[in-house]
This record gives sequence, structure tokens and C-alpha cells, in this order.
Amino acid sequence: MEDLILKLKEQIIKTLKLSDIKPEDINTDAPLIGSGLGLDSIDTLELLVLLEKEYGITVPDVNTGRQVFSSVRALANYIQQNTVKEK
Amino acid sequence: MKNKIYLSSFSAILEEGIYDDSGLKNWDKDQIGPQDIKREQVLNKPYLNFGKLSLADKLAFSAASLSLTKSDYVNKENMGICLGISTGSFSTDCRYIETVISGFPSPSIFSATLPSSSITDVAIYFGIKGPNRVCANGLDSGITAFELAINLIEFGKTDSVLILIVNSIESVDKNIPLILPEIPKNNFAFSFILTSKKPHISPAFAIELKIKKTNKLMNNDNAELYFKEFINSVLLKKDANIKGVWKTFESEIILKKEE
Repeated sequence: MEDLILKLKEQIIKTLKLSDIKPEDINTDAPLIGSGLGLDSIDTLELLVLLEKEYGITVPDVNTGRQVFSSVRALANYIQQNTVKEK
Repeated sequence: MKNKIYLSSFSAILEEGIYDDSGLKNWDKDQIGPQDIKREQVLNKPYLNFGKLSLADKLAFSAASLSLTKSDYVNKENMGICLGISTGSFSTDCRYIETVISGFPSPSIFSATLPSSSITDVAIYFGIKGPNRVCANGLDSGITAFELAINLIEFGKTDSVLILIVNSIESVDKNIPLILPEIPKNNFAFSFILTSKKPHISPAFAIELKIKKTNKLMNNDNAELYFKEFINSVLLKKDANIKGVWKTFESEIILKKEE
């Protein structure tokens, strides 16, 4: 799990081309959108593309999306659960 | 011209380095030119989104940041922004098409496929709320943005305008010389802040712009050299008449210093 969390932080920084930030600066349990990391709605769409492109996972509705992007840990959990399901 | 218009501050990001009112700062050894500009060279605090900006937006943002820091008068509630961007959103359009071809269209690149996206980035970050104009018309774009800025002040729409003049060619633009043959090959950005209030600098420069329409198509002037002559005159603290010849008009910027 911790490996996936670190990988996700690196992917978020690379995908969103975030400046002035390193993986260790991202709080694993802080919100990704708005307060916390401060990502916006366009960033969220970009992360949806990342999920589909890199993990083959989609987010079916807004409520699930709110849960998935509530933190890096929640995102990692969602990936792990859905990857396991597919297997 | 009813009231005097003054130059409050300027900056330029060119192949040789970064200009502001203190002169030229050359690029660091690890930088080739404007395409390598770093956040810390233009802004003294971290900015998460700096790396996300397209080259055109990054150059415009950087030039704006330098000018706004140096200007002694910034009324953000009323300040206008006029952007002259010779290639429009061409680079961003090309980058977006590449993501479409890859099967995963990028939402963030799509949201920047507007020639005016540089204005958005600057206005949101710096909280500038006045009127704005954009011109994406090849080489004429910069001088047209300048004219639009002066009109905004003369017609009382605002008392200050941030002018941004940008040319950006990204590596994705392999075909740009074929599609837009008159676009300069250099990346550059100029920024000027014009105000109706005399700035507290000595000498202050009053600015006048004369435009003369011509009936025949003429050879284009070089926008980069034109505005470089402008900033050199200011740096040398001397009066100047800077003449340019564009597609369908001639321009003359008159710089007159006032102690």
C-alpha cells in the first residue's frame, strides 16, 4: 500500500506538472481538491484520465469521485480494491 | 490624445535573458532561453501551477509578474490586460490533438486551447479584474495590443493596463513555418504597464502612439526588435520615436521623458 501511495504521489506531480512540490510534501490523508493539495476541477479530470490510462479504472459517478479524490490514501484504496476485483 | 499616458514598468523575456528596469540578467548556464524560464526567476514564492502552463502562458505570466512587482501603481480592481499573441493557441491546439490521437484527450490542455488563456492565468493569480482584450493576428498582434491598451485608458475604461506581447514556438510546432510563415522563430515576451497617473520614477516616460493606415500590403516589421528598441530607449533614459511598418499600417511610439 505504501509503495502505491508513493507511486501515486509521483504520478500526480508528473501528470499535473506541479511545480515547487515533492512527493513527501503531499499529505497522504489531506484532501486533493480545494483545501489540502489545492487541485481544481480540471486537475480532477486529468486524474480521471490517469486512472483510466494507467490502471484501467473508471469512476462511475460523482459520489464515488468525491470519495476517491478525498485523499491520496482513498485514491490508493480505490485502485487496490478495483484492481483486485478485476483479477 | 486627451490625457497623458505613462509607462509605469516593463519587462522582457528574450533569447539573451530577462530585462527589467535594472537591465539585463543573462540566463543561467543550464538555461538555453525563454523556454527554460524558472518560477524563482519571476516570482518569489512557490506557485503550484507554474509547471502546468503552456510556454505562451508561462512567458506571459512571467513577464506580467516581473512588471507587476516593479510597478509603483497597481489598481487590481480596475487594471486592464491587453494580450498580443502572434501564434494564438496554435501550440496548445497541436498538443491537444496529440493527446486525442493517443486515445486520452487531456482536459487541462483542452482548457487552454484559447488564445486568451494567458490573460486568465495572470488575472486569476494576481487578482486583476479590469477589462481585457486579446489580439492573435501574427506579427501585428503586439502593436495592436498596445493600441488597444491606450484606447482603454483614453476612453476612460480604466486608469492602467498591463500589456503582454508574446511569441512562442514549442517543439510540437514542426509545421508552424508552413502554416504561419510570418511568425518570428524566437520565443519572447514583453510586458508593459501603462497608467494615466504619472509614476514616482525619474525620469518618467510619457507615451504616445500614432497609427497611420496604408492602402497597400507592406513588409512586416520585426515585432521583437521593435519592442526591444522601446525598452532600450527606456533603459538608456532617452527620448525616442520608434517607427514600425506592419501589414496594413505604420506605427510610431513616441517616448518622452519627464523629470
